[in-house]
Amino acid sequence: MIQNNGIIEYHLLPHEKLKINKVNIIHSLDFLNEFNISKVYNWIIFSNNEDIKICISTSGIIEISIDINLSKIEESIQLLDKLAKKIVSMLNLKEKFLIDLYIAGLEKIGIESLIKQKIEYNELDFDFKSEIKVRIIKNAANRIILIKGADNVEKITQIYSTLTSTKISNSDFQIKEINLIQSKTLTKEILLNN
Amino acid sequence: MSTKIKQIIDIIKSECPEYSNSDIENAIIKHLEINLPDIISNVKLPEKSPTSFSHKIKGFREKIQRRKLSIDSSKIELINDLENIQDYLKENHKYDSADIITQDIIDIDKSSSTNRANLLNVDTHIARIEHEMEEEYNEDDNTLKKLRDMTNDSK
Repeated sequence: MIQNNGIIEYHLLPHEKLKINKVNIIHSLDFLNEFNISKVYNWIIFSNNEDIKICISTSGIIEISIDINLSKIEESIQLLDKLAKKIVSMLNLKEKFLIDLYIAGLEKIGIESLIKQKIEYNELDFDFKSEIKVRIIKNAANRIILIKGADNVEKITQIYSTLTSTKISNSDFQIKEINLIQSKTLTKEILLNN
Repeated sequence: MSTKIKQIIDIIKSECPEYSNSDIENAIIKHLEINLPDIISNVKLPEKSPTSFSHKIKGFREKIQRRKLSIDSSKIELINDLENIQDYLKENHKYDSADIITQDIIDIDKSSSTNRANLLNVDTHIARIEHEMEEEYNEDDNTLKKLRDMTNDSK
């Protein structure tokens, strides 16, 4: 039996909404010609019917998911990043992208004991060095980590290592509480800056 | 179109008389798209063939994938619409109303990622069952090998 297997989903999100023709997506990505292709809503799905799925939306979102042994997670993230960038280049997309990463199936996270000390909760949001959002969702036996909004894969792997490290300290993160007052202040700050 | 499908459309139309035929057809197509893997496996396989269960598992995982994409698509659409409303409110100096919309956007984003994570959780369990059934001990190495091949610049 394979131990510690899980699923990694790597999403690349363009800063601005794009408009890509479905036919162009299929024709540009000829290196995926052995994959099955299907269309769902505004998505094209390339699937090898086994362990790799690549979904590309007409608005420029690229989502790649793989089934993997999570002991090889860092190499997997690097390879997913490389593959996503290859797709961006083949689709000739010039825009800047942000990365969202979902990692599911983690039974052990270094941060777990700290979470228990902090708060009894099934879902935690962290504000990680201000611009990157991290959520940990506890679901049955699994833990799902969502790292959202990094502009490069190095930041993602750095945060992942910190989260899974046993030497994590309180100063590495802050629990984020988004509420109406904060968002109100935020809107006004943006308006004042303009 | 078969009589049976026409009958289904008539039933929906009697329940929702305010919607046009094309609205109903679109709704049916969306539903069929989500359930496509199940439909295909039902057409392809006799009910109790030895491989039908593993096909069902693959079909189920496809269905989860489609639901995730559906969450993503509707989230993008909804947030775009809300951002347009927000811009309009700001242009008209209705900042308090714009703040309410800001909170709505945050809530939608958060609930979408929770829904997505729930589906991912189910998918992980199903993937584990699939791995166990197939007993492919080297599968993960194969996944990495495939990724290495795919990112190889000479390809």
